[in-house]
Amino acid sequence: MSDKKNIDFNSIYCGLQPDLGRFRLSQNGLGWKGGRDRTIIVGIDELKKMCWTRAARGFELRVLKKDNTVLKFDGFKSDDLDELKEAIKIFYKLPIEVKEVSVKGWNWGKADFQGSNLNFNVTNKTMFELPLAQAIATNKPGKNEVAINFVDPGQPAPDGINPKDIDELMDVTFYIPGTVAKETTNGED
Amino acid sequence: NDDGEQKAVFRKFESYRSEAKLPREVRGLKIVVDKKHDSIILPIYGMAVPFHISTLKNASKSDEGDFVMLRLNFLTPGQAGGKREDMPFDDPNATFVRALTFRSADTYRMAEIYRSITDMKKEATKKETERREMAD
Repeated sequence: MSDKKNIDFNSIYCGLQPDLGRFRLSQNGLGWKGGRDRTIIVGIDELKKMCWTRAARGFELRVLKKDNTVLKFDGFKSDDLDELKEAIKIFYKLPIEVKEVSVKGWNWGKADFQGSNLNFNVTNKTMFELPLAQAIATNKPGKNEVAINFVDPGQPAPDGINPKDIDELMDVTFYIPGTVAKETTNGED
Repeated sequence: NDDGEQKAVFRKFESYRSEAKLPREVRGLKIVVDKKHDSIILPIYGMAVPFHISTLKNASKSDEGDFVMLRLNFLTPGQAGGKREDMPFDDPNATFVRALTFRSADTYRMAEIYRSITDMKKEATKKETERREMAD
């Protein structure tokens, strides 16, 4: 593979959109081309970090750009990791960080802030992540409770998605027992 | 440590051993009720996130314009509710997900999901009661 100019993966989703497209890695950067003429190109100079995790639609490659925005590409198969690892190492000299997910089904764990994401971890594995940049409000409905609101009842469904084809998260409420501990330095992640 | 008669113990549970066991339907990015694994799998920003039925307190459904909203309340410490006072928790000092609200314009499917969830909860409560009676 080392002499190939580019590596393609078909049937890949970009973000939460419903259309499939072709994901391509090349020496100059990576890109995705899908339905409705949607194209995304990320130049090699913009690439900061790569992450691999399990998502709902198969496995996901996350591309963190230098401006700290994240692009998510879903629909990979678990065996695609080896090929991706090799290509990303050769083309961009970057490693892929593999993040494990928790599927235990527990509702207790630890909330961690990673950039603008709130990660909910169970036994040090990611259970879910909330993009706080998309939050529209937060409030304190009760003692030791914090609610984060992402979608208002009157709001239309996201662009390009049929409202019947989506189960959309509107809000999350956390219960944080005890008093707030003194702020300590961020531990290891 | 004390007489142990009244002290309820936390019963361990687990939805799935590994992510490979998640049902295929999660690809639809919609709520999936998996009876075989006593779990509700919720789509949260592209991830398939299971919650075991033992974590659920109750569910409620309401209409809002073209949408149906489904609210799931989970069991956490510090909840009012009389007999729940002795509820044991694995780690009472952890951060808990107390509630999640979802919406969809597919009213028929949301009604089905609501029904399956409440049925699953009833079934789980019944089993738990039977287990306690057997233990007595």
